[in-house]
Amino acid sequence: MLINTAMFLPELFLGVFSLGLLFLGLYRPGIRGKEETSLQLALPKGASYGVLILLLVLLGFLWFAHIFQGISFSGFLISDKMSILSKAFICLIGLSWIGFDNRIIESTLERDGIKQFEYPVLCLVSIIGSFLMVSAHHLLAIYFGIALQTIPLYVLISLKKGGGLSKESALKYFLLGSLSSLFLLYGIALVYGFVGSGDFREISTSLEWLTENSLGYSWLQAGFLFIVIGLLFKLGLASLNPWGPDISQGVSNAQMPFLLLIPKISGAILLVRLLFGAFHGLHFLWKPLLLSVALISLVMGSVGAFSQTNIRRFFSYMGLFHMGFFLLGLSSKEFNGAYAGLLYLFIFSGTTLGFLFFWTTLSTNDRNLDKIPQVKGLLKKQPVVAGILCLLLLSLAGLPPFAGFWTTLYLMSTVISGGSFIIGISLASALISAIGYLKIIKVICFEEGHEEIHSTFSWTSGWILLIPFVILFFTAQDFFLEIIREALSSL
Amino acid sequence: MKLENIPILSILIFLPLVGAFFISLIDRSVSIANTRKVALWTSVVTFGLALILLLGIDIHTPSYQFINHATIFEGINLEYKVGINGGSLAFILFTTFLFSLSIWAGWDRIQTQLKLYMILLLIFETLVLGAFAQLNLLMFFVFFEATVIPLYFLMGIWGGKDKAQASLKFLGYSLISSFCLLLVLMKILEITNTLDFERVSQFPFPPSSETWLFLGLFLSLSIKVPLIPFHVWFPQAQTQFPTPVSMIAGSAFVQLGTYSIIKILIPLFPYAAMRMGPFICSLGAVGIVYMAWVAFGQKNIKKLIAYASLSQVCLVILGIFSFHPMALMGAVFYLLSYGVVGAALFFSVEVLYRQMQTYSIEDYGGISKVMPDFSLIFFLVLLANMGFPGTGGFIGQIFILIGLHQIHPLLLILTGVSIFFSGIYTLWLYQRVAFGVITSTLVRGLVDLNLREKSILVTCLGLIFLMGFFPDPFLRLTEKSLISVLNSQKQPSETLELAEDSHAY
Repeated sequence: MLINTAMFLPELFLGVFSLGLLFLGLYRPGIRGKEETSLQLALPKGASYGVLILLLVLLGFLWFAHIFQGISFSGFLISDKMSILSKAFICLIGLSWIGFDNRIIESTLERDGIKQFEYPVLCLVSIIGSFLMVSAHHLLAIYFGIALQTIPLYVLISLKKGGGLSKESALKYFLLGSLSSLFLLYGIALVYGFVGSGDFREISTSLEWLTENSLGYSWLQAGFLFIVIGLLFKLGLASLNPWGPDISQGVSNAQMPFLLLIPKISGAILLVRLLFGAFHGLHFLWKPLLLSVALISLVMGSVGAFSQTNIRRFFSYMGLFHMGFFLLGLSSKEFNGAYAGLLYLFIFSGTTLGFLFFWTTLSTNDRNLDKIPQVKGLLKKQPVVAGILCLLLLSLAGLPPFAGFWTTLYLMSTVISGGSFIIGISLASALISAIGYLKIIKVICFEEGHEEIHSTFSWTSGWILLIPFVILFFTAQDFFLEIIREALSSL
Repeated sequence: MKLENIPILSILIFLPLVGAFFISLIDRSVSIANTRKVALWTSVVTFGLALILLLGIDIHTPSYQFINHATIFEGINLEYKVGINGGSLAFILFTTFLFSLSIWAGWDRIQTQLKLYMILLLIFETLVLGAFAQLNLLMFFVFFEATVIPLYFLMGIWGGKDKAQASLKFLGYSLISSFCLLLVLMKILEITNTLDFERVSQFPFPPSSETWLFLGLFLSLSIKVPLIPFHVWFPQAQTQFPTPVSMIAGSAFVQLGTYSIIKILIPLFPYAAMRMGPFICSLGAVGIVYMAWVAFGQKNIKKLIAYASLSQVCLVILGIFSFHPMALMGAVFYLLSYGVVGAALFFSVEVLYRQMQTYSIEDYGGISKVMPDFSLIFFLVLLANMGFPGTGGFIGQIFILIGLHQIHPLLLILTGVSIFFSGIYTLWLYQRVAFGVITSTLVRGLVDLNLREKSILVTCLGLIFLMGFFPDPFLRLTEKSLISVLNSQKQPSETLELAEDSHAY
């Protein structure tokens, strides 16, 4: 089969670019220990625009890949609308974080003592891994993608200076990541042993003519369950979640999206592809499983986040809660649930990203803010940032008329046929999580604080665009839904 | 020029939002004076638009007029659809009027972050007006629930000493209420496949699910209204709000919640409403006496007024669920007058608080000697609050009592007693505040009303007496739309048959 490189130009470009950055860092004399990272050196002054150009180039490549859709690398990888949409989204998240406001993120990193030139390289390599994950079309490609995505993260986490927490996080992530890979590989071996191929299409065709009485059918089911459990472990879903908050606590604020958002998004897309593509024949097996995981995640996430004071632990639990809602969509009886789930995933990761960014601009006494009580009285000290944070929190809490409300509503309308029990639990946990988010607003606006808070925020930041989006989302929700529907139909 | 061609209702709803947007653009250096002016003009023009609607509306029909609609979310058939009839317009008129008054009242009361305050207040106005006019249940939910956001900030930023606890309690109760409302709406959507109010109200619900849906919706609205035993957040919130906000927040919640019971709850589930009516009536009867009793023992003026108003809300609920046309009209009339009286009362308290910085009744005494004008006006307002003949409250009370008399004499006795009670606690309040020997030096230094304060109180009083002496126009405005609610009430047997038919097929 012809290896069609045109489909995977974005990955190749990113790979070459990150290797170039690595070489630049290694061979440019005197860069070690300097203030500037290799990304700052590689890009011209005003790095925001440089990264914007990088982003545009990548999106251009993605558009190019859009023309050459199909399966490549001997059925190993696929490029379809789903993968292109999710790649574009991951690109937007990852690259805008590295570069829209380069100075802000850089200064946050500096405050945490991260000055290594490898930092952007590791981020980019992790993004390549996510790209491979979302375009996997073979069981081994899943493993390959996950490994490429997480191994840079182990290093990335341990870069933070000061205290043992980041080392602990890195080690924990490494050990538990390996453990979940074990589950995944065991499942892959079982499925391969029975079907004789790891190709998604062959798995789904072989599932079509198999019956319960076929030889080794239960082994296939077991293998599938191992794969799903491995993925759920990676995604940090209940009840395999407790590592998530611990690891988040140890990292720098500036690394949060790479730990909290991008792995979850790519893992979720992979899950969709796996469940609706390869293993759709086993839906009687995974729908109840996912539903129960979703409900437990909803409750554990919302209740767990409720009394957290560390912002990263808080968002880790809230991430669990939001992933629970996403899974609820996937496990609903209608196919609409998957659209709703994906829309939910995209909107909430975008809003969370925005919140994390505006949080990252804040510092007190030349230290990054870790704890929620540290933003006491922010409204009086930094009114603009406080206003934006409150707006994003209102959207995250799912209050009308912001983006979060409409997506939650659409998701709820698709799971309504599931019965009162499911709706009751999901709405109750949504209520708890809403109060959890609004408690942060209470701290920001209503409480008095004495410590000075500095902000590196400026009006020229591209992130401002998020504000009208969150407010006016309801005018364009049909448009986004249509895109997602088209992407899902390609599975 | 034909009024039908202009989306005048939508303009009315979103005008305050536009005003808020312009306020946000005002430069910091000239902000204070300009912000006040823009906010006041916006609210006054909104009131003017409501008056234009009054000219154009046909009050001889209960059907909804000035309908505008636009699709919002095709994925779940969500449509923005507004329309009003006489009943809705009456509430919109009073709400816009009170908002102008409240902005005028907050003229120099709010010292910090005035811009944000006015923006939030105008957003709140848009949400309240939108909730009154919405004909799509889900959009009603959106507007209704979104009112929590500006109020949460208004309380949290400009509130009193216990604002942290009060705002969290307010938020918790509101979110539980919205939780129930959303649950009910989701269930309605599942059963009927639409959330358009007019289509859902024609849908025959099976009796079993109708009762549960009714109870869920009633629970949600009774937290908002608020009815006993979900009232705990209300007095605390009213005490902690800055007073110009108390002037409207109380009446907005009470009027919105109660009118939603009339406009939405009863037409949607007439059969269940009929069945549950006696229970709710007894709840109301208990509430009237209990709230009056609690008001009796309050030491904080604002809390006393809040509890008194809760007792009046129970009276209104009794009037509604007696399903007597006169009682229903009386209830709505009483609600309208309640808004004005409540605003006047809270503002009177504000006049005292501005100089004394205390709400405690004990700190006052003998103010009639130093503030003769204020004492007279305060007395008239208190008379209106207890429903003295000649004021709007009297007409409402009499109508409700006539209706109740035909339902059950015991209810009549209970309400009569509570009205007697209300007379006692209001007059006792007046006695403790206005008469007696001046003991505190602070009271001796009090200054009488200034022109702005006088204008606000006199306007309120004028409206109260207008409603008391000429109730006819107000009653006629709401009459037809309310009678139609009771007509939907007359069909329970048909509904039952229809429902059974639909089961049979």
